[in-house]
Amino acid sequence: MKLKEDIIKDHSKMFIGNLLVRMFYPNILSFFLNKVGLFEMEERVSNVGYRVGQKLLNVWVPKEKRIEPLLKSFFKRMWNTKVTIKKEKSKETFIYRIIDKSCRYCDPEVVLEGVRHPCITVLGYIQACLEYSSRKYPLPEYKLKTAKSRGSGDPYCEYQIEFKRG
Amino acid sequence: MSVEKLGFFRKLLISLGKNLYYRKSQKVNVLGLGLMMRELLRDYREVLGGSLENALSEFEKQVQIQAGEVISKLISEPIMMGVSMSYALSRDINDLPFTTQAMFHGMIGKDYYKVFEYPNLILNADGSGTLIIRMNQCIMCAGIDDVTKEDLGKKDYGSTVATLFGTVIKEAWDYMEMPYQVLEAKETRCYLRGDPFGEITITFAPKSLVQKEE
Repeated sequence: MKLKEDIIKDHSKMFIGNLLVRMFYPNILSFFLNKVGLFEMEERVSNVGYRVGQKLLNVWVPKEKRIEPLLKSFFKRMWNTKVTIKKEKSKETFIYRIIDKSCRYCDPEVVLEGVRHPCITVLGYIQACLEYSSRKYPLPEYKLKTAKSRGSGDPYCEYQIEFKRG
Repeated sequence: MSVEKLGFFRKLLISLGKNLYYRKSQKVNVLGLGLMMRELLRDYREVLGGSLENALSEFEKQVQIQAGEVISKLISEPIMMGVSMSYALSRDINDLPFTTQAMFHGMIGKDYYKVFEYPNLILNADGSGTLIIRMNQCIMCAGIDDVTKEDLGKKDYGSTVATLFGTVIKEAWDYMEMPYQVLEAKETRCYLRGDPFGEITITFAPKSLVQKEE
């Protein structure tokens, strides 16, 4: 019989069809929206992502520590998806644009009234990755935001990390 | 597209198709999914101001709302190369374990054998029956160490997965206009309750029998 730790490690390498997420995710957003309103819903769902990301990173220890390869590796591990990361520099900021064309939380066929970004939970996962990266490479102050969502009509989902320069 | 009984050739094609379907499908990490459910239940509990039992009840209710719609689409609409999931369906009740196993494979890939045992179908003389799905590892609770059986109360932690399986069978039978009705899909054994394995039991009966009893 396998030990629980071994089963957990096994599960961190296994993937399951997105059917369960499609079945419960839209109703979860509606539930929070009705109970606590848009702002708190976004905060709660994003925090859920953060806590899941943290726990996953405790079991699966990625070799990558720098932000870009770490995020790519994390998206692959968590959602079996490839993301494109574009970088934009200005005098004051340094922006990473993470582009996901097959977000698991957005269903363009399901429109959730009043929800700007259905995949807001992904921001929490990204935050967990940034924290993980900062253990090795201290990071400057940053802001996170969801810029685009397939679930609200955009052609792809885009998350932005904006670092302050200097 | 369903048939009276699954023949050798169709079973072979289903076996090939389930691998291909899994490879092409959108997926999420198994541990990540289990952890996500745990963390969501934590927030549900806070928002509802109650117990885990209440949170599970609310969560289950919401899954039931969406499950029928998602699965009926999956059965009737093409999912791969113009073929819908109905290709794997048969009107012969004895094919149910094979079809269920193919569904597991389509869901979780070649690792399904680590998680699920071959489903056990028990048929009664009056036409009613039970499908027992045993899990050697639980995809929902393996990563959880902070839920006790007292926390669960009368609710089942795996009711989401039980609902999913029950809904797949219900929708498939509705699609084929089968004379059977799913009576209950329930988690009957659970690691979190101290059982040595997880188990989901789906009970069904001929519609005629259900109507007579009503």
